[in-house]
Amino acid sequence: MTLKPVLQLSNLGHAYLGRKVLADINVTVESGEVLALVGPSGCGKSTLAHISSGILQVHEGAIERRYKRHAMIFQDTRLMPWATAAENIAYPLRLARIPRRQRRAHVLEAAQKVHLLPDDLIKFPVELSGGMQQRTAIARALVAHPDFVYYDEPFTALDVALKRRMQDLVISNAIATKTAGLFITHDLNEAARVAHRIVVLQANGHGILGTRQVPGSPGSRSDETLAEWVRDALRNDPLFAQIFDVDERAIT
Amino acid sequence: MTGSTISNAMTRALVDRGARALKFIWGGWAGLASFALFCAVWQAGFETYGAFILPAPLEVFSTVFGLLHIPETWALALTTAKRAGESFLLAVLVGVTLGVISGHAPAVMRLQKPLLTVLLGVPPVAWIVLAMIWFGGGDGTVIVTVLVAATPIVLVGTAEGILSRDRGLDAMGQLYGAGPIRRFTTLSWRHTLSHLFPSLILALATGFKVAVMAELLANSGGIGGALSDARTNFDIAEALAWVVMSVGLLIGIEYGLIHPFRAELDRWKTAAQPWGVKK
Repeated sequence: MTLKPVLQLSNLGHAYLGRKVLADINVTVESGEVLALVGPSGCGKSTLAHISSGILQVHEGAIERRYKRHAMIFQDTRLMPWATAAENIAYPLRLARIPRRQRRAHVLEAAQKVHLLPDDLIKFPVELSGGMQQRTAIARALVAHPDFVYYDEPFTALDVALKRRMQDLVISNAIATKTAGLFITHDLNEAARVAHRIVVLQANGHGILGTRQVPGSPGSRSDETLAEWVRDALRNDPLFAQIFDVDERAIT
Repeated sequence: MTGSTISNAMTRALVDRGARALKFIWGGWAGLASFALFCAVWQAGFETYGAFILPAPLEVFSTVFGLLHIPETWALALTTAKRAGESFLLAVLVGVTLGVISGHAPAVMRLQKPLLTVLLGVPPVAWIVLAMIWFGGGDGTVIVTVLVAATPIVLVGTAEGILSRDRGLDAMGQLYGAGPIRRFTTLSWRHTLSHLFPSLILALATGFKVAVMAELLANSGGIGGALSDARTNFDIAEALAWVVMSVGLLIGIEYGLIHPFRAELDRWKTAAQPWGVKK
């Protein structure tokens, strides 16, 4: 018996002001699997994540969500500037009408997962560094124990060392809790590091170009095997040929 | 660990609050300095033009103190404060409601823009004359005039706040299951409040100015009425004393009520600034 996929997008399409940005998108995410969606910038990856998470309405095709609760880690942290880190982390709980007293324990637990200190929790986002802000945003995503996480190019703006730390953070959490996810990125190194499987979107957003399984599982691959796999994929696999080959003004 | 963490956080919150209060009072020095400068210019004016045109500040302040000992003064000041305050609250209620609606509905915004231009363009004096015809010389005239003058300011402030809300935060709220109303109460309203304060302060000041003017012209008691009496008696010192009192009343309300509230809400803006630095 096989489990049904937790997320299934069938023939999804989307248009902005009459311009078709996505068409014929068929993607499935299996239970416990992190799927990376790669493609050149401007090809509609973020739009796809926003449609499948329900922020944007479905115009074409169908979405089947078999998870209970989702969360998203955005590229810009999207923290409320007027609220402290703790209040920001507690926001999903507040929306779920969980009493204030119970929220506190959940917030401390989530903060511990991302290595935020209690002293940081009473600070406002302006008082936190970029990395700390992103940690806060990750804690907010994890606080309500989601069983599906959307990662919308979450670490693009961070420097290399910080990026690795954040990737390790989300990988270890996803493994520990068997959380499925859809990881949007244009960085193949990142995709190979965090995901079980990589899906490549067409440069114009019209369809999926193909799928590749990354050997091993996230968190257990060594840096050498990853680097080798990525180098090999970029050199020999036609699927990844167009990822770095973009002129975003020329998109039709 | 959690227990001590929480009590630490509480202690810090209390210390923070105390520090904010001290910071606020410390800011009074700047106010005092500019007040002293103002008095110096005033004194220079007195020495140049003489007591009949411009009485000395000391004389005016002693008149103020003399007036403060008369219970009737307090009653007059209270009348004006009550009129200005009531109409200010009414203006906030109407302005915020309409502002929230028009901030969310571009069509309403477009329809009311020319109307607002007209409302803001008509001088308050014109409204006073009309209101005197409609309501006679009582509270009604003053309140209506202030309402007409102050509501558009609050309305525009609110609508600007709603329009400038962060759509990214809205999408975040939506992702975590917030409907339009909860997104408004937890996100856009909080954002709008920060935007609203400058227009609230402006509306309050307008409220006081227009209230005193309406009282003077409609001769309906209050500080404006007393000012009109002082003018009839050519008592320049007393006239100025009443002006000083109405300004004092405004400053009292603005710094006693609005600013502490604002400081509490806008903590995040000053959080990254070092102590004692004012922008």
